[in-house]
Amino acid sequence: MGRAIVITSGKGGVGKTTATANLGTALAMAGRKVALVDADVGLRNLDLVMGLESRVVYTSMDVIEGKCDLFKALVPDRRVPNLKLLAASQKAKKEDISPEQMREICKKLKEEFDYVLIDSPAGIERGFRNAVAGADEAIVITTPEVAAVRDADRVIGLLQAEGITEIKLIINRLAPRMVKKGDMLSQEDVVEILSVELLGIVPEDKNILISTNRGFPVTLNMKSAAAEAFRRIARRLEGEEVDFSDLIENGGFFDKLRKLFSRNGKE
Amino acid sequence: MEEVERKPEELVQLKGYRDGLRVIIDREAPLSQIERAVVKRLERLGDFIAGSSIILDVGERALSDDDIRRLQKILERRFDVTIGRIVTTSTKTRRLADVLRIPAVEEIRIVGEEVGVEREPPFANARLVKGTLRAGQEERFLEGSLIIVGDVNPGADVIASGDIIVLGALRGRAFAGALGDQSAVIIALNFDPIQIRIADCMNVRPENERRRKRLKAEIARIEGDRIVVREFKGFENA
Repeated sequence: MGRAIVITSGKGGVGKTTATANLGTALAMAGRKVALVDADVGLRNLDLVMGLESRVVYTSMDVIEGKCDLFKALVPDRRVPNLKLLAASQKAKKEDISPEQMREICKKLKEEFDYVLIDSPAGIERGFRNAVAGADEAIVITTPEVAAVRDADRVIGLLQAEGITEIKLIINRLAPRMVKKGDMLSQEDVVEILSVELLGIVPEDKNILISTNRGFPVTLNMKSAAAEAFRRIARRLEGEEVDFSDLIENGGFFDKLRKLFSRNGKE
Repeated sequence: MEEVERKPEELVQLKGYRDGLRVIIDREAPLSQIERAVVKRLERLGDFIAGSSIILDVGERALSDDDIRRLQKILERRFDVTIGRIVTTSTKTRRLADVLRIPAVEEIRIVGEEVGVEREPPFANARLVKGTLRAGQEERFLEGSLIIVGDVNPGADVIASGDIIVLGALRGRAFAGALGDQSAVIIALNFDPIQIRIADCMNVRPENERRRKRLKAEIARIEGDRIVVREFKGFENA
């Protein structure tokens, strides 16, 4: 039985879809069987970021309506073995799918895959509840911005209310220089407020933008800080202890970070 | 026959105590007038009191069981408020309340003097909440004090008729003495709220103030006509 993990944030535009694509790619490249589920019905774009748009034939809506078998609806990624995508319908509305139906889909996928990564839509309404329904664990993504952290906090509360206790945090788009100057929240500020286990920090990296537009996840083969961060996050997800080094250029920063992580790791 | 109806403020008094909201009704006015006055007075509180229970203080007035039921119905249907107990010197009223399974106690009302809270120890009634309150979450307790074992994050609200004690960081909003108790205090191990209120006083965090990180226990209380925050050095000095 695999792990179903919802990737969510509350706020839009903090990097949920990019993280889902890259984390899925990194896990699949490490030999795991991974299914990516786009739960953003009506505003799908996981297929775009993955570069699989042209090959999508069926969506989760077709599966629910019985037009297509679940496993036939999955689009295989030709670049990485064992990586498949279940696209969301572009025409359907979020209300057309129920939490029970999502739960059923995730349950079936878990029997075949090691990881089922669910890309949640922004917001905390029906789409969010659908995305959460089939998940056993959650990864909350935030950027070091006050509004994003506030929404992440709200979402963590809602996840806990849904009975999800295994919640981990990714801080995306951290710019160490700005933190140093005091222009950006530090990772300590963020972790102090959200008080959940830190799974990883992804530095600000323009390669992400380029790769997203090309439909080519950075983790596929690019040497970039963000790609390395996602690979490390994948390893941590697998239970490996990976430190936070060399992503961030200066030593003082890293030391503080390591202390922070080991403190959280003990809990 | 035309009788001038007295003002709602005269017919029904509201007193906020640490142990809850006390609704004190006039001893003579017809019950229909009392009912209207209760509605008018509670309406002004907004939905603030929904879900809580009140103390109905009827003094020496002898209520019929129908009277009690009518008041109960208004409070429950209209305001989602239950009668926690009835305070009365009337033996008849106490007996009827007993039949309706509402606790009733005898308490002599001294005119012009508030009875009740002063005699009780400060934490006579408290609710313990374990866990961090996150953005969008609210903890409200209008029948005493609240003790939060965890943090109160930005975007979370804590409201109590008595004191608020946060065994963690207070970064959201806290409203103590919510029913008007001016002696209520707010204590937090790490005191960094966005906004605090005690009774009718309010403090907000200055706009450009940076978040404080240092762990420092502080206590907020009303001194004179404003809220003063000081380092908390224990209850003897508090």
